[in-house]
Amino acid sequence: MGNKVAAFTEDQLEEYQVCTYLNRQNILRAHRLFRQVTGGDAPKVMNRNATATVTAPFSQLDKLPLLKDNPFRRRICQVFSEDASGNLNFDQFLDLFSAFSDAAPREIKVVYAFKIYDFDEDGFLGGEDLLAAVQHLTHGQLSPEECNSVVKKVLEEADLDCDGRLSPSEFSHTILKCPYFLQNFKLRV
Amino acid sequence: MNSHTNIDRAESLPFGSSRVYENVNNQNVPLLHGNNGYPHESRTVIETPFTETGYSSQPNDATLTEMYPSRTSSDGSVVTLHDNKVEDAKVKLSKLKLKKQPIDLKRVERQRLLRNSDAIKGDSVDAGPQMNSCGKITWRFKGSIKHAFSRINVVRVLNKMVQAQAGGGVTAIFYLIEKLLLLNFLLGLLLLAVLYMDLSADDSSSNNAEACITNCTPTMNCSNESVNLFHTIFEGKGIIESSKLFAGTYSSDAELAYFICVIASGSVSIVIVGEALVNWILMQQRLKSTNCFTIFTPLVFKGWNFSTAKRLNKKADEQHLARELQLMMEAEQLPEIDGFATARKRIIVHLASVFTTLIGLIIVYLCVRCTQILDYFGSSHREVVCQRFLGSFGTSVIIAITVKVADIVFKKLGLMEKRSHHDQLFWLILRGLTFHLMTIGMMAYSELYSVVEDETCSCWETSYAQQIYSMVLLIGVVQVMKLTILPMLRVCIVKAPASLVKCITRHRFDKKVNKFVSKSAPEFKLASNVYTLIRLQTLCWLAIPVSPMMPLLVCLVLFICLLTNMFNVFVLKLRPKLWFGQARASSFFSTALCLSLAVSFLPITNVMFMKKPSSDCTPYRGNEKQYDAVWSSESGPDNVMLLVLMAIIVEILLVILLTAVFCPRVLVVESVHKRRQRKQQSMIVTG
Repeated sequence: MGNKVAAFTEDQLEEYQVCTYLNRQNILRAHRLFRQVTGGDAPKVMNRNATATVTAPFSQLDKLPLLKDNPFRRRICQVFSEDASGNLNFDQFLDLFSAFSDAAPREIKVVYAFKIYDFDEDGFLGGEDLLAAVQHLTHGQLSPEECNSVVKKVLEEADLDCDGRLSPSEFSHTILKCPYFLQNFKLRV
Repeated sequence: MNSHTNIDRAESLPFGSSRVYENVNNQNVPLLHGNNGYPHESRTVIETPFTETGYSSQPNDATLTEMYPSRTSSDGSVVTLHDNKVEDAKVKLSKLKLKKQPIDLKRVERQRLLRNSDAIKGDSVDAGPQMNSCGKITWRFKGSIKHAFSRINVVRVLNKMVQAQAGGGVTAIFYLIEKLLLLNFLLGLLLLAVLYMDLSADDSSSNNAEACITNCTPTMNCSNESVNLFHTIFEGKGIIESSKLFAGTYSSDAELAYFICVIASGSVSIVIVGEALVNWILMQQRLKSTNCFTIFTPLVFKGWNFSTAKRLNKKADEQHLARELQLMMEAEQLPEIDGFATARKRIIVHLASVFTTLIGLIIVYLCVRCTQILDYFGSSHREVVCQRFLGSFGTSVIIAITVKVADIVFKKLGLMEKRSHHDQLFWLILRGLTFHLMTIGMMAYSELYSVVEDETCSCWETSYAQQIYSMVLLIGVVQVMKLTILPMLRVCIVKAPASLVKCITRHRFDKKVNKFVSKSAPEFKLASNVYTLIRLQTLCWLAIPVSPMMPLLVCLVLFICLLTNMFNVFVLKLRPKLWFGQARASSFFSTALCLSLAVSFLPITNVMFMKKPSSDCTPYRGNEKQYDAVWSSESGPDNVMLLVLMAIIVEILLVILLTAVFCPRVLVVESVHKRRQRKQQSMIVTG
């Protein structure tokens, strides 16, 4: 490999490939992106300690071109961070790209989509969660009455057990009817 | 906490798995226990010391015995521990990715599994299927090609930009244009074989191109030179008539090639149009099976498209979504059909549409017949010929005006019905398309059955082809005007003076002018675009038996349509008023091609199998019917066999290629979807 210093050992790379849906190239690209976001705090050679301790703050992740226009960027970072602060270490950063990668199956994406939409983190998508999702998506284009109407319609359509909220299985069943879900829940490194 | 194992069930994650911590050396190290394939027998968790690298020391067999109790197989023999643990570990490693856990937990799990099994240590475990080196190389090669192609796939990039800016309905128009470009390009390539056969024909043959007498000789002259030029360009007379655009001047050596290529073109068209129809049918079935009454939920949960990275696109996306949601709420609030009143209104509208269609057809028929009527008023050969020229282009113009008026009538009629935006647009397009296709059919019928064979018209094929050429060219000219002249006029007459006035007086008068010109704000006309494209393709199919190069001309016009639409979307920022979701629009517009092919079928069959070819022009001259070319070819048997073999191979290859590209995708998508549905239903049943 000449004079280049490898960012990861072969063992680390293999481990990441086994544990995520990313290939070697994606992992290395994610590492370069991570170093960019951390402003050089992340070392060139990432040992196990560094992957767990060096974190990218949300204020920097917010400015990533891939994420900066996404209305759910804060929720995405909160879901993948350990303490819901939105700061991510390298492992969590890879987790994010793995969940949104092309190779990740629908089941994985549905799990994380549910977590992202679950704003109050109670394990269900209630009226407030749906209202927040609609407001994030339309960004003030709909009036509050219209937003409430949409939420009501969604619950009418998807709440099969009529408990006023969507459980994970109801959400998963609903996602089957979304033809663009898979192509939208995709992020390339 | 003590140093011994202290199992503490931590919080439950939403999907059933739980997190268990093991206290080792005063550190909480996460360990997974769950319902993910672990043996259910009771066992003791063994404390395993971790080194700095995270790996533990190698456990001995005694500890392994406690961790993995042996089991008895059905025949009474004891399955060895080693076999158990290797197989279990392999399976668990391969499924590690599927676990919905963070990487650190999976890492620990992986280390644990590797520790417990010597046999798989060092193996490269991959969750995907095992491939040999040749397979890996092929897979990587395919991936690189696909990746490279996606980067230079301008079409895909363009469609994404249009989707982000203007929504799904407009994107569907672009998809249709691209599909038609591909289709006509393939047809054009196929029909180039005819040109090749003609160009390589023997010049000494008595049936060569120069012996052809087409509709009017190139030496024809009207009194005015500019009129001559007009007739040449807009009606395909003069040098265009004797060019290779029309079949009139092709030598008889090309008759077999031409016939076979026309059949092959039909096959290619059927495959491409059939694919659209199959997609539409599958989509309808999917909607029925997945309970098509969920309309809000897919919009809210469809996710955010990470491709819309720019701020402008993001705003457009928000607006589209908001608009779609508003339209759906509007549709929900529409009053139910209150019995007789609304139903009566709708019946009146349908009858009015049928009446409008009939009037339009009569006008078209009379227009075509007028060319024959004019023949009787000419006192000399030249005058008759000139009048006939005017009639041919005049027919195209009158047909264009008739369909335009009909579009306006259908739009007004549609407003009388109380329908949602989706349904209104659907009925508008359906009525308009029916009218357009029927006028084309009437034109074709009139041309084929009204031409009188006399000395001024000895080649009905060329006359027929010229009429179609005239209509195609008119569409192209209108598109060019929309792209160049109309925006220039708008800038010169409205924008520039308005800017000047605004600078001086701070008063904006361009809005008043716009209102004067058109009472409503300019919009991207979805219906009009669909009509134009379907008309163009219908004319192309009709012309193939009499004009081999027509698909290439249509390609050019389609490209101009694409440029015009890009200009409308990106420069003029036109947006449709009536909304269509992309999936529904794409399948509906593509299915309209089936209607177009069906309408074209009768005239094509008539030309190829029923009407007698002209005696002095086209490769089929002298035959009773065009299909006689198969038996009456004057080429030597070797040439015929070679030609037939070549044509069959080309056709089979094209059909296989198109089928391989389109059908598996359709079938795979369908089977994957069904599997997911079954899995989901079983999950819901088990709770």
